[in-house]
Amino acid sequence: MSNTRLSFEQLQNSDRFQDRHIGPDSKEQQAMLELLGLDSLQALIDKVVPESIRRQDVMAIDEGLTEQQSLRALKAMASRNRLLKSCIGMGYYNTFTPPTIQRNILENPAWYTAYTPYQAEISQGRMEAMLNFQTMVAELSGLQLANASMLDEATACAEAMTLCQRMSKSKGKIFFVADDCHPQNIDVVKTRAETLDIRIVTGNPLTDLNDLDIFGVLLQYPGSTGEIRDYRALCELAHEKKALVAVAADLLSLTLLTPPGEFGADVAVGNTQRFGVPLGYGGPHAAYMATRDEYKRSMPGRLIGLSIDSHGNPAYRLALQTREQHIRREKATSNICTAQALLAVMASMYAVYHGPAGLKKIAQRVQLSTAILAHGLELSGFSVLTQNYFDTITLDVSGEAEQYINRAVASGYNLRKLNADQISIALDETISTQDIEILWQVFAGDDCGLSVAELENEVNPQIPEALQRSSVYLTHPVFNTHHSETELMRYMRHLADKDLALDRAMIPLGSCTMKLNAVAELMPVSWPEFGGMHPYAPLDQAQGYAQLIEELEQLLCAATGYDAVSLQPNSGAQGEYAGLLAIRAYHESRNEGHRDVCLIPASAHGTNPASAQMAGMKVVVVSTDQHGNISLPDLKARLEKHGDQLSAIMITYPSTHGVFEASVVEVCELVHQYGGQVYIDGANMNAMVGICSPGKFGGDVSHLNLHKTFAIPHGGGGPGVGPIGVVEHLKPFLPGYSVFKNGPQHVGPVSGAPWGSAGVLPISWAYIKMMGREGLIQATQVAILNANYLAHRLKAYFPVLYSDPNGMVAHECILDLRPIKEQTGISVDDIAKRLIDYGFHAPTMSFPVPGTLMIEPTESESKQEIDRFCDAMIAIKKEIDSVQSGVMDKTDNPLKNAPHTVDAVTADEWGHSYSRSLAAYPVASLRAAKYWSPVGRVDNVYGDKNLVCSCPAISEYETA
Amino acid sequence: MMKSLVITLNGDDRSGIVESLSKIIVQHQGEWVESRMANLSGKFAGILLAKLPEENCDTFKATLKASLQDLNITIESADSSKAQNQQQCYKLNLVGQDRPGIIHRISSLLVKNGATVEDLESEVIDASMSGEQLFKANITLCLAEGYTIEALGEALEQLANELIVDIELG
Repeated sequence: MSNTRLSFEQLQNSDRFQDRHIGPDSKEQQAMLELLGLDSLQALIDKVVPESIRRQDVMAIDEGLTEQQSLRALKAMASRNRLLKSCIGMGYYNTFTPPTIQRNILENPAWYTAYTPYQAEISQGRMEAMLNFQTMVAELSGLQLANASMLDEATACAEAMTLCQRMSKSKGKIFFVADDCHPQNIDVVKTRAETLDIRIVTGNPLTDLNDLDIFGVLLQYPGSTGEIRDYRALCELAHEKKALVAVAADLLSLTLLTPPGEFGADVAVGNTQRFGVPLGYGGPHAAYMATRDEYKRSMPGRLIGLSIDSHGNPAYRLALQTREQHIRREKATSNICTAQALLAVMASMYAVYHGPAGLKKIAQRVQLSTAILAHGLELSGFSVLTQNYFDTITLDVSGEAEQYINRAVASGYNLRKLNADQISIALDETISTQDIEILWQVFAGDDCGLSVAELENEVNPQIPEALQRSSVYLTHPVFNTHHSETELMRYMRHLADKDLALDRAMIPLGSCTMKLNAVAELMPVSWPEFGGMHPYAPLDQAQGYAQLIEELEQLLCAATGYDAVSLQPNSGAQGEYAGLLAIRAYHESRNEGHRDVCLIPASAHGTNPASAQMAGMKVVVVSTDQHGNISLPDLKARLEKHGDQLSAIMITYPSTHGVFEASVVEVCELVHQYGGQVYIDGANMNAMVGICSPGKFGGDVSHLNLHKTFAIPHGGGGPGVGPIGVVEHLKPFLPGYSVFKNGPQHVGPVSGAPWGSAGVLPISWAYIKMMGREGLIQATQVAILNANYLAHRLKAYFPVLYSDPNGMVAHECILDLRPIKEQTGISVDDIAKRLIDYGFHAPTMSFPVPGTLMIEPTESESKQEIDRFCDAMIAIKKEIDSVQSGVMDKTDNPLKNAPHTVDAVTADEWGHSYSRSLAAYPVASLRAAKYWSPVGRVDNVYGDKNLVCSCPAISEYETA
Repeated sequence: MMKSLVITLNGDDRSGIVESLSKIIVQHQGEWVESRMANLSGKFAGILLAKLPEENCDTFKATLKASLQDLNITIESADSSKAQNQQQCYKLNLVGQDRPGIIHRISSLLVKNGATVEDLESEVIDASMSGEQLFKANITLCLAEGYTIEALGEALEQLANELIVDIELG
């Protein structure tokens, strides 16, 4: 044993973050490299990544920080934010996040490392929470069907507009938007309408509608400046014109007000942020959409439905996926993919915890506070312009608005300045009597002598009787049972235990990059200095965020080779949309606005054509050759034919087939020659960071998925962040800002908040800063190493569908299961469900090629876990061989009957031709650590045929 | 005088079927007017409308049957009176959960709603991401007078809750 003493320096640097993030240590890396016949990670990269696209510059990112250094730096940044109490409203309100929900959902890896519930059997817990969310929204809004979240209220309004267009029988081209909608809702709707040949008219819906040929109307309820209006007659008028009515409604107010579904609305949308989700400087929050049952096929977004499993027991699943982009592509109802699942779960738990009575009490207190505030201001001589209000009032301050805003800031409050003469104040759950008394002093002076206790009995909260809610809501037991903290804690734990997330096993989903979400990255999200900021607070109060945003933009530019970044889009699909809008605006600026053709390979992710369609482009499909690469002859033919109309090509790199196509530079050059722009889908960025830069080898714009490559947790289907990076000439065409005037000026906003889901940006900042240049490069190298090692171990058992001429793959590989299906009848589905018995989440199924599995281990998985997965796949292959040879029955075998529940395995009757232990413990190691699927295989046909999308009566759960 | 013949062929797929067929037509001074050919799971099926001089029809039929002995061949006179008049034709795209009998139910419904099927392509594929079995069909149909496409579209959607129907004028 050597006695050489390590220096202080060497001992100091023994805890590099990159060594905690990257799974295989150097010994494991060596072992894997040896198996591949390589002697270093560099040799691997030389073999896999074409020389022609390799980065030549040194990535401008510093050496990695330790976790402590990163947390200190972020704390210093956060402290530059000034946290006032923001009474600005506009869809964002202060709220108390119940501590048990913060710890057990937001800060619990069992919830935040989960994936979108495509594999129904291993997602029952979070689907129940999302079904609760759907029920909460449907009942509060008074409409039959609600989806499992939208990206934000503003985009939900835009989606409501296109739903109205699809479903209305009117031939009109006009969508009428009430001028008292929140400004960001109006802005985002306008941006969306521009590319869809829809004319937006704003005005007073009660007086301006009569002569217009409308297909739909958007209302805000209560109005942005506080007024509650009766829209029943308006809905009738709209329906006479065969138009549909969409209402953006405040969910808390609907505990007291007649909900949109009861006054004639066809669609309701809004934000659920005030149900216990932190402000986060604009997000992430779960927005909602609810509509009539008859429009279900037109509803965008994920829909959780109730079905049955193979034993006839109730089981949840994603319903009506035939509407969505991964099935319908450019014909999809929307491009929405990642939404806001984790935040929807939080909001649903808030409703579960408070119950209908608790929510009503909160609403009543909010309304009483507003009434008391208004009364005191009136007594002090101020004119309150709002007649009927819930939580927001508008004051006439005759030219003095600026003065009162400043006085409020000096006292610690942000109010909303409408113009020189009017101020709006929005109250919320967190308002105390002290807040009200200070606000009085702001307007009436320190010596105004008003007291809440005295004035309380003089007020009568103002809702017109005709609009008082009489119907009940949230009567289901789930909203009326878990009201003690112990009860709620156990309910949340009970649901989490049903699910298989990254905290239990590798999730090797191709194209999803399920890597480590380190706690040091996540902790700052919970700090009030980050979480408590209102998105429209004055910019000088948000200097901490300004610094974070600027630094993160620079880091992402360094990582991608682009010249500018916008963090506004809050999902990859939304980034695609924003990127395509930038391209469109660019062509228009050069008087080439006729260019509207978008070339998309057949193998592209479904959001690509769906986003292109939303951006007003015509999708032309480019075929791939038998190696899975873009067919250059077909591309050239398409360019010949459409060259003059060519707007863009959307490519994914490395391809969705998991290959670094050598021809990419040529593809980009060809497209540029014909005057088109190159959009590079950044979903596979994990194979490129530090090694090649899309912004330099031919891309003009890319989106990134921060919830893939840059460590933001997937949350069960959101939050996501989909920033776009652009080259210099597209910079002016980045999305503009709502509310603030200092953003890009040519393209409208795509999200309600200027920096999207700003509240989770610290995560990616921390990931990049802690990994540092060397760590990021090594992460890319190990991601590619892990995938090649896995392909190497499995290729003798399952054909690897595409590889480069060296037989290598990038960071993911596709296994072809079609021969197995043909020879034995065992399908991809059977293998995926059998993997559950082995304690794994299945890889990506049938994308981009039907009948295949796409596997992406990421750099975070150790060789041990990858070997465990390979061993499972090999054991499964042996089971398949037994079926083929006739040793196991064609239909009664562990693959066809997977997953096996504990109920089935312990039942008195077994009745299968294979043993219980083969079913449950196909490998011995499972006896020490076993994940049990809570349900048998879920019946998809039954689920769509008998659509149930809200909490069923308890009797439905009693065993069939 | 030219006569129209409808030729139907099916059997094991191999290379050269279309080549042999077209050669024989040319040899008999005929014209290849319109056709549909498909290859599924190793089997070939084709339907072809050809025009030939009346006097060559008998030798044509004999030569065809002698040359393509490995295929089942039916040759019939085309009934020109059944030619399409000014009917409205549409392209329907259907996608939904695959279940037994779906083509039967769709085609019964089409008949009830005054539609005749000109072309039908369908497949069952593994849906991406979730692996569900999806049924997809592209149908070209023409409507008899008195029937509307809106009514047909609604009927199709009622048929299956999960059946998403796209209609294009085609």
